[in-house]
Amino acid sequence: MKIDVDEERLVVISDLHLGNPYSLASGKLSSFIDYVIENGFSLCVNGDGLDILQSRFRALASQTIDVLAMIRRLAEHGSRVYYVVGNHDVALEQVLTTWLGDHLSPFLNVRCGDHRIRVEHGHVYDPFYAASPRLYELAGTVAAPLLLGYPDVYKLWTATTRARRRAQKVARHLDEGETPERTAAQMLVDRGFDIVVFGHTHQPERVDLVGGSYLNSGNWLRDSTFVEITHGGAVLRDWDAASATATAWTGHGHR
Amino acid sequence: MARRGGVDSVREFVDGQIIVAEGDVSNEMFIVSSGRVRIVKVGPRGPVVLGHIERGEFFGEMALLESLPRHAAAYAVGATRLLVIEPGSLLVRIRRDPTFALEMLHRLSGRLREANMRLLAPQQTSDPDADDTPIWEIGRPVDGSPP
Repeated sequence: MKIDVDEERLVVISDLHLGNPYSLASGKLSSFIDYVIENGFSLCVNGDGLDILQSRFRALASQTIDVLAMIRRLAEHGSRVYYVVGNHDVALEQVLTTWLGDHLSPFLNVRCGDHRIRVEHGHVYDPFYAASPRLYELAGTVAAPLLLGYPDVYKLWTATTRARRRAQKVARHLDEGETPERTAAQMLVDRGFDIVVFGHTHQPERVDLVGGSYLNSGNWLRDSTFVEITHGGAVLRDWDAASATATAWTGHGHR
Repeated sequence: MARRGGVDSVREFVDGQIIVAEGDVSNEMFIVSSGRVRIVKVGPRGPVVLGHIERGEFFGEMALLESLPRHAAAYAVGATRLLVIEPGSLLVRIRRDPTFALEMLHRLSGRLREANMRLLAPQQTSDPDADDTPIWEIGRPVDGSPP
């Protein structure tokens, strides 16, 4: 298990949920991998790359072959591939280890120039998951059929979670901008990281913290945002597969 | 000294300031939030720099985990800010920040492996005067009684 790595150029994507019948990731990955290779990046899949909870076996099997081919193509061009385990693929850890060896990790501490960057899926800071991983898993499995009716059902989940947190904050007179992810990111910045990158929430965001910053790489289930890390720091970007171009992320969520 | 999040306290030091002295009886461990720390131990020929602790790394865990006096002294290199973890707050820290426990185990495993390699090194030489005591017997008193 490797947790300390040095990288000059690294892109971080998360929450592809390959195998999930409604994941749009596989159709967009090929051109993105070309971008990674052409620009001399290494790649980190920051959790939930594969989805065992809400997948169909045929889709998971066929898309897994695509992922293997992608890893091979990157390796042939000298790019390293790291895989950080999330909550939807933790059951596949043994399988992933056979492909990735010590490049499979629970989190990564990346040194890039003078920057110390933590890359982690972030599910352990989700209060629901932390309270009961089994119940969380069960909820995810039960929710799978809802995808048949509304593939963006996770957005409803996110909206519900945000509304619940907002109500709790009003009741407890807490800061509106305080979320479990941002609190966790601040805790990691306090112990010596400049930048913290999580996934899990599916919501891309960039937040300035005291002494550092927090970015969420968003998702590739329905969108295609990613974090680009170079000596200059980390930026959130959007991948447009149709034009095969990366643009600065301009969505909401910046504080 | 400020306390963040109700768990860890923060201490700040100026360049060259002593953080802990060798032999001190105290039981906190420290995470280097910013700056750098020099670890120094007094040997038979005077002080020896054992190494440096960089930003994001930790030290002092032996005193916290085993309640032993400080094995070496620590000095700030440049302006240094430390998170202080006391025995009572360690479990809360691990609950809030579980990856910290894994990082601790990872570092301790690395240090143990290095110590094992150093112990094994004399046995791998062809020097007839090299100490060939098996490592599991090191620490056993001369009279052969259990340590």
